[in-house]
Amino acid sequence: MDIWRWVHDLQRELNESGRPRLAELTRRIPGHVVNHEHAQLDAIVPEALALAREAKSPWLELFIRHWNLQSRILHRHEATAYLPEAVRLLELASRDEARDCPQSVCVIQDLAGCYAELDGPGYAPDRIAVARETLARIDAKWPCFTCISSEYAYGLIDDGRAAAAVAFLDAQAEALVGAGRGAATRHLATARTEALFRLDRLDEALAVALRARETETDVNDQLTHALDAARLLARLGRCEEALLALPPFDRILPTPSLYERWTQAMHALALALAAPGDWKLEARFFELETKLADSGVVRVAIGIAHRRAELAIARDRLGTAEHAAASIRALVPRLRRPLGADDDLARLDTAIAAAREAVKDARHPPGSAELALAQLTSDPETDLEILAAGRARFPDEERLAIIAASARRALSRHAEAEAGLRAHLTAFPGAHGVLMTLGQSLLDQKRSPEARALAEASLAAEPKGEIAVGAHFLLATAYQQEDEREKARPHLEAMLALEPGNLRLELLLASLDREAGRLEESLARLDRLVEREPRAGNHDWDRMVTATLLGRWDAVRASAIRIGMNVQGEGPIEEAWGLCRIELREPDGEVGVHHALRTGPVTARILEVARPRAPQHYGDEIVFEAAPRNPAPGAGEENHTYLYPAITTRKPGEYESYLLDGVHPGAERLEALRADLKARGCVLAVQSDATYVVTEAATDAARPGLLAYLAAPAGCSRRELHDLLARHGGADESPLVWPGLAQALELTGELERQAAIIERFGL
Amino acid sequence: MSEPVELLRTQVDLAGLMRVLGNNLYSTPHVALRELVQNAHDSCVRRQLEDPSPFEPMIVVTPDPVKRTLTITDTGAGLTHDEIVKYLATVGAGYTGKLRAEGRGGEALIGAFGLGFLSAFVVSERVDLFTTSYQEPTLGWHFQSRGGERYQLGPAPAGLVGTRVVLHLGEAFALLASVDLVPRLLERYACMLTFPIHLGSATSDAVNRPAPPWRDEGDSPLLHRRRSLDFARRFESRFEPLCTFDVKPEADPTASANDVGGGPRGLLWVQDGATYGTSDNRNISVFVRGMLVSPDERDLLPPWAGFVGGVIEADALTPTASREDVQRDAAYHHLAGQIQGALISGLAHLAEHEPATWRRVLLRHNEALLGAAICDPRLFDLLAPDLKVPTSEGGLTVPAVRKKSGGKIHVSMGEQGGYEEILFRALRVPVVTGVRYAALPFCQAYAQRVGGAVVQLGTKQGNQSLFPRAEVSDAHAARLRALFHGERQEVVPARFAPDTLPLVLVPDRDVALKEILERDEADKKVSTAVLGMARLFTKTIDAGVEARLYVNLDTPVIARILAASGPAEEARAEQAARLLRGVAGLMAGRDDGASGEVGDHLAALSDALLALLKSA
Repeated sequence: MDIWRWVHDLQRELNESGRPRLAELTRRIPGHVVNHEHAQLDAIVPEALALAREAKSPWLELFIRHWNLQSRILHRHEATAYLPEAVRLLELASRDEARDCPQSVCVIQDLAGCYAELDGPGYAPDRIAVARETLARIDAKWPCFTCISSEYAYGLIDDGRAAAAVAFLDAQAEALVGAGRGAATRHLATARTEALFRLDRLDEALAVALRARETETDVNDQLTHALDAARLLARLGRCEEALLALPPFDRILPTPSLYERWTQAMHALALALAAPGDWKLEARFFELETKLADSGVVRVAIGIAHRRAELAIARDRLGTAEHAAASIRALVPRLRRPLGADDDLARLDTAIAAAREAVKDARHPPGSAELALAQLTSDPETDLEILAAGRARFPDEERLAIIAASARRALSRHAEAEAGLRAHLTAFPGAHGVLMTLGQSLLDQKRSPEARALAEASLAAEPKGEIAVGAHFLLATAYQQEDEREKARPHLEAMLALEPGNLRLELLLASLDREAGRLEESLARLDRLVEREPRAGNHDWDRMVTATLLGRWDAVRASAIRIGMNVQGEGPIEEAWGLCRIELREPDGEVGVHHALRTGPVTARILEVARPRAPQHYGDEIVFEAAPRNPAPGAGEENHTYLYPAITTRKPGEYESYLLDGVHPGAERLEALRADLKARGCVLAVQSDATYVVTEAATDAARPGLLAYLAAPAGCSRRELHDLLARHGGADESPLVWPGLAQALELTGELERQAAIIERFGL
Repeated sequence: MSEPVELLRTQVDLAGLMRVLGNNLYSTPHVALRELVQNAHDSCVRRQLEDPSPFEPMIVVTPDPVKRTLTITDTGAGLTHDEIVKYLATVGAGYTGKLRAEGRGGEALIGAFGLGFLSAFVVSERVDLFTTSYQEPTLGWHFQSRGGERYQLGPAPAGLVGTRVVLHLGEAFALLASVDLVPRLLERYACMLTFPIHLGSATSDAVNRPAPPWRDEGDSPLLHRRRSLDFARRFESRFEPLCTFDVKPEADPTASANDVGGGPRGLLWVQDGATYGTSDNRNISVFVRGMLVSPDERDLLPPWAGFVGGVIEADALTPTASREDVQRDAAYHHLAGQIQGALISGLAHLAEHEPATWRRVLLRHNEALLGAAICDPRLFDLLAPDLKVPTSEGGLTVPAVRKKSGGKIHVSMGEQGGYEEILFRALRVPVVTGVRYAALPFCQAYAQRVGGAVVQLGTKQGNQSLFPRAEVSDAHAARLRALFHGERQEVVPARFAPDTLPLVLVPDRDVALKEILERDEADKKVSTAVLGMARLFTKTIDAGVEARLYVNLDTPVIARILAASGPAEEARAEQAARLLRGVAGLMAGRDDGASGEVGDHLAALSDALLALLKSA
């Protein structure tokens, strides 16, 4: 049974039946999975699945979902999250329309894999039964024979029967050879290595791993075998070789199925003093442990916690060992069956107690918080012990709480860092520093609703003083993060009431008013600020913006003069201050940059004609943010123009544009056309240069071409414009065409005439 | 007395080796040209090292299609009689290899295997070599061989110091005498070589000029950009390069400012051709010690960079024995990391300093960049505000989506005809098409790194977010249950937009799954142990509720129904409720049992309408 054959056949069929995209995605998926290209896989799975459903191909759907689960379960260990999907897929595989699909067997591996991760030994009997039953349905000619055999072997290993697993793998290898798949025995290498490792037959295990490493080409197998080699070499005391075999950590982190082997290797290396078994390693171990525990991969997480504890005891960091023991205590009840996990924990507790006894920790509480702070080292594990002693004596000292949180974060104990700060704040609601540290950390993690809840609670407890200012600040920032700027406003006002005269707050409020369209309020506030502040500054720039929006040119001039700009006269400011560029955001979020003439301190008029059907901004009068996006020109930099983000369009140009294409009429006639257009308020923006050549198909004669955009104001009669163009550009010897305009006027005959020209010159 | 002509035999199984060269080592005959030019170049380097007298190093390549010959002339060291015997005709003992083994010649020497000259025999019927060594400038030698196995070596008139190799090409390799092809090959293969290489005559412009742009430190930024684009065009055959980024050696803190060592240098470019998300047009030409080793080392680029090409000079790489590939060793992986870094900082620089080009890159490669952004956080931060995701309202940036959706990002995974479609059409809120390339993971990354919440339609979490449960009095809760309760359905008082949609019925998929797998028929379809394992999961599902009916308290209809008092009003309210239930059932649109049969809903609707007509 070749389970790939139908896939290849189907891919060919899909290509032939006009579904090449689905064929292409199907081809890519397994490669992304086995090469740990998780992000690329996630990018295409939803599309592939939708296309497979559209193609009404349950087999293909099964294939895609199975490979997705291979990645999610087997490699990324998202066991809890994807167990429902594994069961759903099994249900699909059992339906009449899918049950004959060869991939329906693989689905069983996905489901069994989930339980192996949740608690391998705890579910071992169930997994063995499933694998046995499945093996009875297939033979060694099936590729899944190796996968299900591995599954069975792992079941035996987790059931404490590693020797039986080796014997079983021998038999399966023989069956594979018998089926002509001798070379395929490498598929069982990982299980064989594991079984031999558990039996402490390390040399044999190493030989298997090294042989397998040489033949593997996909990333998953390469890394797995490399890690196997590293952990075995380390256990054999061949630490230098182990370090050479060990893949770098950044290749491990994205793929949790590698965590157990990596921690085993590092644990052995650290115990042998071949790698630093310090707090940095502890932080990495705990990061991995947490990730696994969060995904429900409990048994492996417990194993990592035991390794942390052992290393911590070895380096006399008993606080860390106790932390690991507490982790295990919380994890054991989540196992399906403890199977000795509780006994292991009891032994660990005893070992820690004995170590504590031996050390007789003589850390005395410090005489003052300052003394505690002075004792701090650059080792967060030690610091946590010092801080614990300090906090026992000075529980209200918020500096100690904040530093403890940062030490915990350094050790990847993020949840505890947060819990510690929360507990401090509950006990001491006036701890401003703690509130701000915690609030900011929530905002950094984009957890703005939680930051708001925290701030609201603080406000309820302490409605006045520094803490209230901080709470309002957090609320305002959280709303800002949620794009709810109006809701930020009352909090900014409350802060201002608590800190009267704060210029930054005043400016923020003025800009909020402006954004919400309350221009008069915004200007009144800015007028007051300008009156109050003797020196020109941002308040003047902001005032010019708001005053421009309101057409209050006197206020614009007043601030412009304060800043040192030369603006004379009265009424609207209409200067010609040279070129600038304006960044305009379209409704779909796309940003365009347009050349413009700066007409005042914060105003400009767009000079660039857009092509037909693109958003047209020619003639738009723009009010822009006073601060440019780009820096001032560097020394010797030529053609520098400032780029300003637009705030709003004060007056739209309301031009529409048409394409003008054809044979260049010559400079003189072009000028005449330009002048005539200008008289009607139109503008001609020539896009082509001397390299644009048009060729008459019949004679093959090349002529200089002209391609231009013609922008016409809203009031301009299309018919008159057409007549004008017909006068200038209709000449037979060098004709121009303007099909867009002719189309808009629905001039059928004219369109035909222009179509003939287009054909004649291949336009 | 003139020297006699000797007939000699080369010292290896040349026939066997030639088969290897012809079939395996060199898959394209072009390689012969590359090897001979490199030999010529090495010879010039050797002369610079050994001969104190001044000379002008130069190589001239002359294809002659009429005579079907290809001639390579150099002004290098030339060979003595003994050297010809010792090095030229002994495989694996090239003089260059000897110099390198002695630690001389440094990076300028290219050949290493001593096989280079033999490649000439792969393509030639006969090879003539005329040479005069700087060591004996008055002596000339003529080496001639057919097939390479045996050769004649005899005296020739002494010429200028240097070597001239004439290949009398085999019929199958006549292309190597083409005046069109040879310059194009030289432009690619020889562009990194230091000494000038001319075509036809020493007075023509050197084909390896201008030199790679990274060798000219003094260029103005504008000139550098133009030269870089020109250079990129030589290597990018399928697309026009849109912009280029420099790859520079990593700064070594211990080295002086001018000492860049042998670190990699080169160019990357973005291709100016629209791509789809999964298009892979990556290509990188790799030069080692001036020699083009591989024209397509795409794996040096990150897998997400399907729209990028490049050319890299990296002497730390080791060519494989065939010299058509490089070894995937630690230096290779390190270089890949450097190239990825250069690409990302190049894009960042572009975004900041060349907004117009940046916009063009975004426009061309929006979809590919969505996929790229989720692979690398630095890239994500750069691209997050500007990339467009596909939505029900067309392509929109995520900030634009959030602006229209109250800060949220609604994503549909393609379930058709459900309540989602109706709801969002009514709300005029854009829904991201999550089944398109990279759309869902990009939105998820956006929510995580920038802000906003992804609401995945059709999931439990999505429904909780769309239809937040509202507090009601016990009396109202009881009334709603009495009016709207269906078998195994939960009535959930909620508040949601639009306020014209009174009810939404959402089936619970997990319960449906439980039903199927716990039915007796499942035993016939699924093996016992597997089914047992699946049931471990389904047992954890609460079977009580098959579907949830969200009642929108914000709608005037529901408010009116709740406010009904007196038997007449209450009777009308009940009729209205039946009608609404029927509509909700139809809107759920899934004839899957959990939300009821379509026929039942139609019947309920019809009954309710009849009752209303009667009461009117």
